Amino acid sequence: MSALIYWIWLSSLEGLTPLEKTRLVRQTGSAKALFSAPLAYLGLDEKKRNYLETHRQLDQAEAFLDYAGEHGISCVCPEDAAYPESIRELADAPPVLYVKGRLPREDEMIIAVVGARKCTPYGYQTAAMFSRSLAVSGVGIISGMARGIDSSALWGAAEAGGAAFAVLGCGVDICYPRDNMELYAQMPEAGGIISEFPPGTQPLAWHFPMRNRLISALSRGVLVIEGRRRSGSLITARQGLDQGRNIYAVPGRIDDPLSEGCNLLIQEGARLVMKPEDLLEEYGLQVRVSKKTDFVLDNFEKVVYASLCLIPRTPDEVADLCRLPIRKVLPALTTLELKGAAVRLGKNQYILKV
Amino acid sequence: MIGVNAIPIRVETDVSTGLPYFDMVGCLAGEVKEARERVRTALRNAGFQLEPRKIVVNLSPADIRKSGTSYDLSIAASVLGAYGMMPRDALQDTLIVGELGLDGACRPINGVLNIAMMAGKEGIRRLIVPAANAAEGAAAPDIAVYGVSTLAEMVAYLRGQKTLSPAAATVFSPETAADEAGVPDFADIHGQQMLKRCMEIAVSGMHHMMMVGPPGSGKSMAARRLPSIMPMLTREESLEITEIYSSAGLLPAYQGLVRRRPFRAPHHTATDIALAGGGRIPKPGEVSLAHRGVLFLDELTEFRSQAMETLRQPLESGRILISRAAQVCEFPADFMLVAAINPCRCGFFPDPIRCSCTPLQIQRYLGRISQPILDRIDMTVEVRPAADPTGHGGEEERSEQIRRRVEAARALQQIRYEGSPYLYNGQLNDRDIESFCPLGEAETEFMRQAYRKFELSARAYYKVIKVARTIADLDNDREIREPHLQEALFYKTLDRKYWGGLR
Repeated sequence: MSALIYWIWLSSLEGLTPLEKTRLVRQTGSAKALFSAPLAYLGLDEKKRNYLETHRQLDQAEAFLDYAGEHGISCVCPEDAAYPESIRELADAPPVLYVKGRLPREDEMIIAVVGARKCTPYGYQTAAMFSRSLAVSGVGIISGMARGIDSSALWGAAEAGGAAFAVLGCGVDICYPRDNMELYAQMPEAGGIISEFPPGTQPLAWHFPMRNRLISALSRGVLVIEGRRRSGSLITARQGLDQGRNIYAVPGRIDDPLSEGCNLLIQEGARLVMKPEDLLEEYGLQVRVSKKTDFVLDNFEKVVYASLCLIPRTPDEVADLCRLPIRKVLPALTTLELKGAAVRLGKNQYILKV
Repeated sequence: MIGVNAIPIRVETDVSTGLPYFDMVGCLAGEVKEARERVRTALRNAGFQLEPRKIVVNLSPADIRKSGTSYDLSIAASVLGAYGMMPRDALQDTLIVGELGLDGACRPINGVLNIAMMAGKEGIRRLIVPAANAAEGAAAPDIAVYGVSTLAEMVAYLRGQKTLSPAAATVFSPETAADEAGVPDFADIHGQQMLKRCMEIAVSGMHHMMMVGPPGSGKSMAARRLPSIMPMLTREESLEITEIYSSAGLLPAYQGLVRRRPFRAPHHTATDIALAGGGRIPKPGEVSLAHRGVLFLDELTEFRSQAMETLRQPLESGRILISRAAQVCEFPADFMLVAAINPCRCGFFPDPIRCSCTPLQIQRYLGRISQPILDRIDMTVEVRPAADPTGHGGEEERSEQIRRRVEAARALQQIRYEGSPYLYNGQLNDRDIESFCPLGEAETEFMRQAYRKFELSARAYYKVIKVARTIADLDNDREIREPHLQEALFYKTLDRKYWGGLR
C-alpha cells in the first residue's frame, strides 16, 4: 500500500483541524506512521484520541482514491514533488490537494484576484479587465470561483488564454455555485481546480474561509477589487499578509460599502493599484495590456457610446446626456450591445464594456 | 340571455273558468317563479281588477331555463291581454322586458342592449323597456325602443290612450366620444421617454407588453393612461363593449353606449373565474370586461398560476369559451395585455448594494410567470423611477398628439390586412410573418447576426419582426429597415442575460 492512501485517510478526518493534522504528522513523521502510532503520546485530549481510535480504517480512503482515479482527479500529498513548496511551509498545510487539471508550477507567476460575491457591474468589469491584462502579460490568476469578482477574474484570464486556478470550499467534483457551470467546465483546461476537501464534500459555510489561506499561499500577491469591511476577501488579504504576500487593492469611493474593505487595506498599507501596469511593474514584467476596440461605430453610436460609463445608465439618462430623441438612442444601444461595445444589465440598463 | 346573446322568449297566457288559480310553467328559475306574486300585486296596485279565474302562463320555448327578473313586465302585459283588457293586436311584433315593483313601477334590468340587438335582427318592430334602460336600448339599430316608468303607463300606451316617442338613438361621433372629462393624460407622465415610446408602439400594433420595474416607478400610472392613446372607439366597438357591460349589469342607469375604452386592473388575488368569467349562469370576467381596451395585471408574478393560465385562450383567439353544466357560452375578450412585475423579489435588482437576491432567486421569481403567457408578450421594457419627477421644464406631449400617430399607424395596418383575418401586427401568426413582413437582404443578414449574438429563440425572432413592422408603420415606411429592427430588439423579452448580463 502506497503512502498516498494514508494521506487521503488523514485528509478525510473531519474531527481534526488542519493545524492538528500537520502537528501530528510532524510528530510521527508521516501519515502512515500516524495511522499505526500509539495514541497515548500524541498529546491529544481524550475526545480526539477516541475519535482517532475509532477512525482507523482505510475503507473510505480507498473509495476516495478509486473515485478520484475514475474522474480524472489527481491527489497530491506532501510526499510528492508536485506538492507546492509554498503550501508545505504552512503550519496548517492540508494532507492532500485534490486537483482537477493541474497545480501551479513553482516558477509560475500567480496573482490572486478576490472580491465581493455581490459586486457592482463596475467591479465585475474591473476584475475581468485586470485579469485579462495580467494573463496576456504571462501572469496566472488564482481565485475562489465564487460569484461576482472571483468568477469574473477567472473568466477574464481563461478568455485571454492565460492560466486560471480556482480553490474550492467543496470537493473538486462539485460545481458551486451552480450557475458557474460553464466556467467550471473550462477550468481544468485553462489551469486547475484545487481543493483540500475529498471529492463529494459539500460546500459548507466554514470551508470557505479555510480555503482562502490556500489562495493566498499559492500566489505571489493578492489583489482585492471590491469587498466590504467584514468579508472573505479581507480574510484572504490578511492571510496573505501573514504569509508574506504583497497586497494590492483597487480604491473606491468613500461612501461605497463595497469599496470600504479595499480602502481600509490601502489605509493599512496595501499597494493602491489603478491599472494593471501598477501591479506588473513590481515584478519587472513587461506590460502588455489588452485593449479591445475591434468595433466600428457610426456617428450616432459614437455619441451614445461616449455617454456610457461603468455605472449602469438607463436609456432615458443616455438620451438626456446626448440630447438625442429616445427613438434614436434605442437602436444605437442595441447596436452597441451587438458590436460588443456595451453590456446590458437587467432588462434595459447599459454599461460600457471594457 | 346566454352569455352576451339574448334569445326571444314567448309569453303565453290562458284564462279559463275553474277554481281561481295562477300558475306559471316553462322551466323557471326561482326569481322567475316569484314573478307571479310581483305581477299579481303590481297589477292590483296599478288599478287593474282581475276577476278570479284560472290563469296559466307559459314561457316558451319551455326547455330553456329562464332566470332573471326581466319577464315581469311581459307577463303582466300577457295576462292583461288574455283578460281582454288590452286590444289583441297591441302586442303584435312587440318585445317587452322589465322588472316590476309591487307598486307597479318599472325597474331596470341587465342586458337591454343585447336584447335590443337581438330584437332588431329578429324583425321585431317595437321594444318596451324600463325608462332607465331606454338610452341603452336605443343604441341598437333597426328597432324603436320605448321607455316606460310604470305598468300603468305601458298599458295606457299599448291601449293607444297615451303616445310615447321612441327613445332618441344616441348620436355617435368621435366628437361626442372625445369630450369625456377626467380621462388621465400622457402629459402627466414626466420624463420616461422610453416607456412612452414603448407604449406608443405597443398600442399601434396591439402588442401585449410587460413592464419591469421597482415599486413606485410609475408602472400603474402609465398603464392607466394607455386607453387615452388608443384610437377612438368606433360605433361597432362601442356596441360590443356595451353589450358585455350590459349583460354583466355594470352599465349605469340612463346611460347609452360605453364611450371610453375599458381599463381593467384586477388585483393579483383574483381567481381564475374572476378573470375568465363564469358562474352557474356564466357572467363575463375581467378578460371580457377589458374587451377592446386594456387588461392591466400588476404584480403578474403574484397571480395564482391557475388564474394566469385562463389568459391563454383569450390571448390566442380574442374570445373565451365558458363551459358549465347548465350552458356553454362565449364572450368576446380581445384586449391588450399590460403586465407589470418587480425586477426581483426585493425590487432592487441590479443594484448589488440594495438587492439581496441571488441569481437563482431571481430566476425563480421570474419563473412564476407561465411560459405560454410570456410567449404572448411581444414587448418588455424596464421602468426606473424618473430621476427628476418635477420634469425638466419641457412640455410633455399630450395623449391626443400620440393618438394621432397611433391612428395613422393603424390605418396602414388596416390596408395591409385587408381580406385577411388580422387587424393589427400584434395578432400575426409566426407562419404569416414572412408574407406580411418581408425583410430585405441587408435586414435579413442583420437579423441573422442578432439571432446568434443575442441567442434568440425562434419565437423571440418573430416577435422582433412583428414589433419592427409596427415601428416602421409609425415611421410611415413600407419597408422594415435596420433601425426598426434594432429598436424592436431593444424591447425583446426577458432572457438568460437578465440575471447575468455580464457573462
